[in-house]
Amino acid sequence: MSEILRKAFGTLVAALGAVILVSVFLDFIPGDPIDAILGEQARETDRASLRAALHLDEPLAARLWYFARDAATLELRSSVPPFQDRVFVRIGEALPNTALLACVSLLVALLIAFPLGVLGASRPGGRVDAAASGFAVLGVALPRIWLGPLLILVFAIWLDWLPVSGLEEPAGLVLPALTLGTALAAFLARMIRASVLDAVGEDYVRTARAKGLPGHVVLLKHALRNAMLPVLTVLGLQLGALLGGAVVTEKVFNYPGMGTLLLQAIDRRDYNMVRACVLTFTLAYVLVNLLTDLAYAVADPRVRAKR
Amino acid sequence: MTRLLLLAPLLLALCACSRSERPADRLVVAIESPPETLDRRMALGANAMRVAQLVTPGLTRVDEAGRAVPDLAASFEAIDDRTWRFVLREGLRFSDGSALTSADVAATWRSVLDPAIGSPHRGGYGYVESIETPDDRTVIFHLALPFGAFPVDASLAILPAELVGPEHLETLRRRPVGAGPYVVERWDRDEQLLLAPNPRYHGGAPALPLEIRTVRDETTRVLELRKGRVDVLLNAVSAALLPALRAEEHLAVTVGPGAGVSYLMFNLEDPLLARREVREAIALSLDREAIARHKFKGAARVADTLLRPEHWAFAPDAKKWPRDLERAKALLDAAGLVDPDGDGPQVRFRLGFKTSTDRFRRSVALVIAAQLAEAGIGVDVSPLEWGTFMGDVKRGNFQLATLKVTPVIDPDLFRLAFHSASIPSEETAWGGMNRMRYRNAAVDAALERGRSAADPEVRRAAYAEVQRIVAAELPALPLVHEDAVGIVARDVEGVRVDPQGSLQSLAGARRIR
Repeated sequence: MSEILRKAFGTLVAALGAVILVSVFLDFIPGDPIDAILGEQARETDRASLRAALHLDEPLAARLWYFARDAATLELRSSVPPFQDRVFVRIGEALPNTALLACVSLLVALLIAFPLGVLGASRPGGRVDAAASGFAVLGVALPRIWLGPLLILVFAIWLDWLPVSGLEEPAGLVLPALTLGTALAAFLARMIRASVLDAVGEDYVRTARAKGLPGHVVLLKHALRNAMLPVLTVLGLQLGALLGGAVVTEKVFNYPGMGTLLLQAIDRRDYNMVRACVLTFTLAYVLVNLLTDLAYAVADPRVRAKR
Repeated sequence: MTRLLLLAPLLLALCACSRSERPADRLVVAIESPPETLDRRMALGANAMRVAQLVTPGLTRVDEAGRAVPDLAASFEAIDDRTWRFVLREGLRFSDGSALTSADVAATWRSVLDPAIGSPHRGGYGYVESIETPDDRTVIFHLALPFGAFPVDASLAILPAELVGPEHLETLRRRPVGAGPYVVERWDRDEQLLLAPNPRYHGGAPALPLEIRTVRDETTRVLELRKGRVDVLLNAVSAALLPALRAEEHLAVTVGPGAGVSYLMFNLEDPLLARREVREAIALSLDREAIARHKFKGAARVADTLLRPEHWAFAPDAKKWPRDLERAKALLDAAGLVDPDGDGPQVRFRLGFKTSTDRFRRSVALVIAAQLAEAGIGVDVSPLEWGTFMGDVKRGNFQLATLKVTPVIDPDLFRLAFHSASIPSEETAWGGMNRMRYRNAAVDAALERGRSAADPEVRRAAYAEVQRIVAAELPALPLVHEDAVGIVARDVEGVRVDPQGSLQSLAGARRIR
């Protein structure tokens, strides 16, 4: 019980810290948000009334308090005219889309990374291993802003299999998931390979071999299972990177998720929306780490025993 | 491995359900960012205003020459310089069937001025003192001060009187009711807005429904166009992509006059730039023709004044500054600013040149620097983050800087740019676009005349004088008029590229074949 309380407290501190940090940085940005919102040709009276409506003449602490108050009652509205968007309704629409994208990308990454990593580890230095290494370097090095349009060109224009952008049809999920998944796959494949190679050198693998078990059983059942722990850790951390990458990928594919919502909020200087998006990202990150901890327990009986 | 095999059919199934046929039953236009509202009274974004105009037009609209022409009004006239009478078209109806009368016009205008609505344009229309409706089709506006550009402001959307109250803000935001060519059919996601033809539109219902799709990334917009999922892009592509798009067989690229103009500002409080011959030498050293041709890929024209030649108030006799390097050098020599080593690497003097970090603007600044170097003027280009850049420019902390005005609609804009009361300062809360700190009593007087006169000819004469003086004294040098660009699928006809970026012509578009 105390464990859960401690985690909940930690989550709260992280979320609060993120929101305060972002608010402070937003305040540091040079230039007047009123200029950006109203444009150059606005009259002084309109500028003054917008300044008052945004509480810009009050200290940051007061603005944070208004934000916290409205956020707590889920009544938070966007902070640019027409002040009508309900922030949490918008996030409620966007978040499932991003979660879906993240999960499918993860699936894509695992589907690519496991075979590549294990095959690479089964014959280190072999041809498959070299090819897997090449893929890994490419995957990490290719920027998504470039890979995305390239995939569109190949699969949506030349082959004409998939839609270019949007999520009006489920097929719209394929290209963004591939874009987001390959970079992660490349990284994971390297990780799995190294981890399996470590495990292969262990005593219990030698024992399994000595028992006369076939090579693939040793590899998949004994070595891979034990190699999972470090991979899980990395996976948890990488989901954060997945959320960050989602911002770029969502823009390229015009995907109606959190990244699009955040970029649009920044564009419009909708500070309430920006803060709420950051809050959501933070909570999602913490939640994923919590899930990683739980997955640890499933994968490693020793962790369960310690509890 | 088995898992992979199991999933393969699923992925294939996902791929197979896509198709490439375009939605032939409607016209699709792509924009860069979704409208934040369709209630024109609350709208700030350009796209929000453009889409709102299709659903809820106003008494007037602005035509391609920047002139206000009747839309819902059949005619309008100035009774005196502070009173304007508008007569509505006969038999106007809102899309819901109710009649549009002068009461609706008055109610809409009063709501914009009502603090309870909270329109961000309330101050902008604050000069309207009272509104009178002698009969169903006549509206008389009484202004607190003479304002010749009022017909342009009268393009404000007209809404049904029973919907203008604060309790209907949410309805008007998503599904406004108006008398325009289209009616909002569906708008449940930001990305896709469906407009249906309005059979009651006074100009005749459009042939096709309109889908307005938001595609945020420029590359993706162009790819959607190539795929055929989008038919029209208006001003949503940068010049660099034009050569590639011109090569596409099924796309037609149209380049027309645009209302955006970029200009080079001189800080007149700088001892060097306060000297007129230095500014003249800079103007003569610049090859703006080359900038338009190479940097803008031909989608720009050299600007002589802030108004494009097609604009009704353009002054054709304003002084022009074609490139003349020799005269520029002679001017500087005569001013005592001699080049120490002739055409060698040493310079006569150095100037700081501030620009935003935008890659395109920065590259234009570098071209300008290279051209000035040929006359022996050293220029240090420093790209600054937007907020910092604007802060510096407003406070006069610059020597040279480039900016763009968009869109130039009414010449009353000159007041904001050149009137001595528009110099940003503590008192004006750093508002005003006269960042050059230009002061000229004759210009100020002409600007006052142009603002207060209701007669377009008096206004034209006043603004022509402003343009002539400013082109001669050069507080700022207009660089290029940036063209409006339209990319339209070849099987769509009737789309015109509007300088202001209006989507109005889409209502007259149809599909051929």
